[in-house]
Amino acid sequence: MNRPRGNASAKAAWLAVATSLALANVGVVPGAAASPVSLQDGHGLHVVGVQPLDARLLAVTVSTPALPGTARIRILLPAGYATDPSRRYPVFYLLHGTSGGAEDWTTKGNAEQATAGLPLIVVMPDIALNDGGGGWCTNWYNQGHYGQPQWETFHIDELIPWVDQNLRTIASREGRAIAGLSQGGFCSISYPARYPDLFSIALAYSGAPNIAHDLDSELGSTLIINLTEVTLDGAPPNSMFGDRATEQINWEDHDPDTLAPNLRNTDLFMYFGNGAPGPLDPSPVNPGATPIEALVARDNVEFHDRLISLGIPSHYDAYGPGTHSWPYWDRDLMWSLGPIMDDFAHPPARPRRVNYTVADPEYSVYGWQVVMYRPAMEFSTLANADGKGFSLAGSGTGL
Amino acid sequence: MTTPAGYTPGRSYKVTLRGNGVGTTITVIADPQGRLHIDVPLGPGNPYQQDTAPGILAGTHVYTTIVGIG
Repeated sequence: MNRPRGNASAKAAWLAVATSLALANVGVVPGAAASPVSLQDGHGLHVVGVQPLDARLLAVTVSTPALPGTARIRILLPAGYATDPSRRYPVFYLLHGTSGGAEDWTTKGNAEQATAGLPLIVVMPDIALNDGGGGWCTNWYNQGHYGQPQWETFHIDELIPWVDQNLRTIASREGRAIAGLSQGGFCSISYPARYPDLFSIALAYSGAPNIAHDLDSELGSTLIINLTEVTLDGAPPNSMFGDRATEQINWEDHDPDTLAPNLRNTDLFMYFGNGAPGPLDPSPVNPGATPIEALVARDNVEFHDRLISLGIPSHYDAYGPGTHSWPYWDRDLMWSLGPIMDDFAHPPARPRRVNYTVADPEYSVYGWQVVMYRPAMEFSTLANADGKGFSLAGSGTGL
Repeated sequence: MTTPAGYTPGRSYKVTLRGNGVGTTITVIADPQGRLHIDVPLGPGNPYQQDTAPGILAGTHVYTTIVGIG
């Protein structure tokens, strides 16, 4: 590439051209401080705007055919990101909860201060549009019509490769962790269970990792998700996963408890209280925060029991009194950052043989690509897959 | 099915398939990326979606085929 050389006016002219090109490409908000990175369109995402909020924090707005409106992404860069252009960093995907947005972890929560000084990129995307109820990180069933919103497509197929395209990441499973609170804590275990080759570390803060494997969790999650659809998202009930009577398998296909065997090589962390007011609760206690935390506590106990039955280790912190509220999620984040950084330094090994169960008609995992040719949706299992062979279980034909 | 890359492009591999009414050995040539493409017959497709009332009544039959790559 030829660069302008010579006098100051030539440099100034080049700078003006470069700046105008950058503004045109990334939609920088006029008057904002210069962004330390240039974020380009890619992988289905169109960058609508980039606003540096301070030296580390970027507010990004994107559009995608996967979603019916623009989505926000907050990105925290590590200190010194711009000064060492050869260095790559692990990425920590950090998800908010119901009736929240991408900014929550840096406004209601303490993520910026908590990660100061860590060699880590933190990416905090919307899991809901306009602080709505959220989409439970699935491509909506929409009464069989599918279409928008396609949250899983946005997060998995678009956001992750877009982040790897635009930032100096360690673009592999060993360089990615994901955590979330409440609904986001469902997502942060569901995604690694569905895509075990994308994340090596998964954490849930008061998460809901069981929506389809035990009857009580089915009843509770159906109630909460139906309420979210109708009262917060303005959608008909069962828009996300479908009616249990006819689409139970779609719930199971996103349920961490059902897909738990896929998490055998993921480092798992669960933090939750019992719902009783604890040391970090204000007075008076938010009356809604007690029953919700009690519900997710039961969910986490069942998920943990399932992991134990499968011989899958996890870090399980049932810390006792504590409600479904920000002071505890901030503390969860603080408590978990040390283990996360330790894991990035010594990531869990990839499996020597791949074992994977899912009901999707086609999938790719650890480089294995499978298309199930069969009349009806059902689970299939790829097992003991290595260079010398594998087994496939299901019906029909695997192509 | 498509395996990960890791085989020698253009080289022939003996692939054995054993399962429900399946017992055969075929030859598969690794593609230019070093992957093998193998069709894996399992058994008759179940007509009803799993975990629906018709599916529960009829049963969801699971067939396993074991594939060896030599």
